[in-house]
Amino acid sequence: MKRNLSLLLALTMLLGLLAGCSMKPPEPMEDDASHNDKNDAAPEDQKSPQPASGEKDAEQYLNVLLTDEPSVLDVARFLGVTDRNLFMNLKEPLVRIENGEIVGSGAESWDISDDGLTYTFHLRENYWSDGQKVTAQDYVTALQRQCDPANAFAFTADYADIKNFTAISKGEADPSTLGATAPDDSTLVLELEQINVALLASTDFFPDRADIAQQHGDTLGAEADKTPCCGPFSLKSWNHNSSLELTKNEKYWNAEKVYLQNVTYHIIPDQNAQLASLENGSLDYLGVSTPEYVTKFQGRDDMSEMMFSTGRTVMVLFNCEDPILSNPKIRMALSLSMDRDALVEVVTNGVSTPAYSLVPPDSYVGSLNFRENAEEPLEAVMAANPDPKALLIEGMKEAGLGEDPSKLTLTLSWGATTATARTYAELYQQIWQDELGCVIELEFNDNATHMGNVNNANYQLATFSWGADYEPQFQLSRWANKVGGHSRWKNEEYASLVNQASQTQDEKERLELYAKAEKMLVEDAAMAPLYFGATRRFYYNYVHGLTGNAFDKTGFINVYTSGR
Amino acid sequence: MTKFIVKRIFYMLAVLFCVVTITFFLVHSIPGDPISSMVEDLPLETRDLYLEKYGFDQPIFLQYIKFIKQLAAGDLGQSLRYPGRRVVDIVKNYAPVSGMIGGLSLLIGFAAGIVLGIVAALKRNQWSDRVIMVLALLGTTIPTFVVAAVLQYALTVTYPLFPTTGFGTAKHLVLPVACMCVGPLSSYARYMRSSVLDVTGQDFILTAEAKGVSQFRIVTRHLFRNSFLPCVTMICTSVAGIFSGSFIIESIFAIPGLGKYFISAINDRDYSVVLGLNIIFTGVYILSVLISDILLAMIDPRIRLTDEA
Repeated sequence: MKRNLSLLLALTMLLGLLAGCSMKPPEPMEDDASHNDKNDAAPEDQKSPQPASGEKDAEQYLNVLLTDEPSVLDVARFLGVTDRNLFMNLKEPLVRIENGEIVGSGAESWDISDDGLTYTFHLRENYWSDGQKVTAQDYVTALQRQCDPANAFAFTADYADIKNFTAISKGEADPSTLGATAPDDSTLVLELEQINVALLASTDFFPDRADIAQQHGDTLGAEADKTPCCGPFSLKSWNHNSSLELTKNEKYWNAEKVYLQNVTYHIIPDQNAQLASLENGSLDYLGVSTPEYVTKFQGRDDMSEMMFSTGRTVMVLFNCEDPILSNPKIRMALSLSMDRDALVEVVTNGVSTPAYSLVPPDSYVGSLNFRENAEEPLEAVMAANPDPKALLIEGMKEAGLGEDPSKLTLTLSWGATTATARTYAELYQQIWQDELGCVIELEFNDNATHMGNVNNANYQLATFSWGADYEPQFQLSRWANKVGGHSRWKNEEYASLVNQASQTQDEKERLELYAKAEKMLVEDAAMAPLYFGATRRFYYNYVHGLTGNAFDKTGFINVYTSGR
Repeated sequence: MTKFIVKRIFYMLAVLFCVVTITFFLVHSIPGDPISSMVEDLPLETRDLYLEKYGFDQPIFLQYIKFIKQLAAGDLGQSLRYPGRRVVDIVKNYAPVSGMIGGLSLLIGFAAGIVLGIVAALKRNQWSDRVIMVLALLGTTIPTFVVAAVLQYALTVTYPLFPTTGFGTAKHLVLPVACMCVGPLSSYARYMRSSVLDVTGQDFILTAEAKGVSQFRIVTRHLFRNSFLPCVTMICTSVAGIFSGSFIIESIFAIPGLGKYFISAINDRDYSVVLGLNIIFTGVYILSVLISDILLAMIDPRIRLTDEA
């Protein structure tokens, strides 16, 4: 009996183990390799015949990464870059940026009045995925909803130049006074309060359906079936925090340039899971920064890599209202003494570019590349001040802080609490302490706390990054507001320069004004630019047509696979 | 018994109210505000407008009264981070997903853990006991994210047997469930082993043996039933936990569960979601404690007697 019992128990144990968590990897099955269940209809790698070079695959689909769940796919309530990028595929903006050029998309053409204040757009014939025609009124509806105070739209500042937009969003003007009208179905007229030559380059005008917005109310854009689409793709399914499936919108006016039939976004926040997904082909491309994986993927014949600018400037902000940092020489000493090459090497694995100015090389003024025509201001300052420590002591004397840098203590705030963040922060600390002899203390907070502190100017030195846009206006205008931006750096001359630039039609003249403003900002050290962000993207060789331009707004138009 | 239950329900409501109040003030006392963290490149002017819109610029006590009024009307509010998603809907749609993965792993972990625990106890100090206990020790000490990363790499990259991420088919469930059952399996095994050993030394087992009761009957009738008791308390509270999901597992396998909502809501200062989910989780937890008390009273007459006395 005893033996029987033991046998029985051993058997149950074995079953339990098998059912529970068998760690022994069963034999690999060829058919399952690189196969994602989401794409059951798609052919498997091994089975699909190799087409002749350049020939597009019969089945066109793409699996791509989203690091975050989209907030809401409503053009008047969205909160993030993720959402905006999705709109480029789901909605049809008036214009898109393609290879760095503004091209008509929802609008076939447009006229700008001589005074630069009235824009008349002539719309193309385009259709919503439910078959309704996209009308000029749809674009007006979007703007009306965006300035509706009830929607608390986070990006009202982008539209501030449209007549009465800001006033309506503050509840100070009647919604009917908005400077956007639709004289007929295919004509849209925008009236501006003041000239903004960067309007089309930096503002997205999406259409919206008043009837659908009315029907769904608060839940508009919260689910796939509540998201009206009129772009290259429409939203087939949205499994929150897991995946989004886009399917080609056959009614799209430019459908012949849309090669992909299906695009699946996989929402994967975990970095190891992202890397595993690229490695086994569950994702078709990915930005990779982990050094071991960079080496690993570089060794693969079926993958290629491209450098990809993120169009962001990473910087250290100085709080100019701080008693110590109100002295420009102290700020400049901190800016000059930072070893940008070391940061780029250590923090970004050598992928990024050291920054001696604010505006990244991707930005243009009209057709002129900004950086090619404007020197990086910090380089000249560096040449003139070979000894930042002497500059610091000078500044300390001016501020009545004595002449001993070791008695100067400053705190650097960091917006992350991870081990990596600590390593990087210690690098900053070490560089400053070695170069200047002052004491740098470190403070770590989670992102929300950090950003709250930065927005309230409750810091001394803070790490920060600010996205650029096609025109330098977007970055430069941040310091041109009443409070002097996040640095609380108030400078009226600077503000008027930036404002003047935004109203100057002539590209060359405008570029000079921007360059002058940037020089002031950097030379007075409102912040210390450190590097221009970049990532290394690995993609499978069968993926074609991905853009490497940071500001392109083409979504997945032109993308196809060949030889998958 | 009825008086006992009514009293407990009254306590439950009081606890719930305290938890709500404490959470409200705690979550609002964390530095930072919802919009500063959610929106990248946010102009300062826009932020002020937004805060004003939601009343976050008002004194905290006024906000509290507004919240309690809203709560009394049965409205848990909407997410700030995901506009248009009501907290109630979030729970309704994603608790089942977390519940399915959590429930399966608990079930497997519980069943296997109990069996292994009994085997280990019966084979005390023999090799099978040692192997089980070493594995159980590893299972409780190795963090889930390590288990998950290793399993994911081994079974989706090295041997591509399962989909890397996602949710929907049975195949998608295997890896997350396997990762999540390691913890409970190990702790139940360890718990059960000590519980069985405890009972083995009791007089009634000796009596049964002396009476000549068969070993099988002793194990099933006397040993199992008595050593199972402490595990009932454990499983009831674990059941409450399964719906709250696992942030780590959900992030690694892209599973649309509640765990991710809850943790990211705290990081994003999504006040209404933190509060709403907390109210629901607390409610479920207290309820499960109540149920476990009632169950225990039913299984174990000693508890019933003391309560009536």
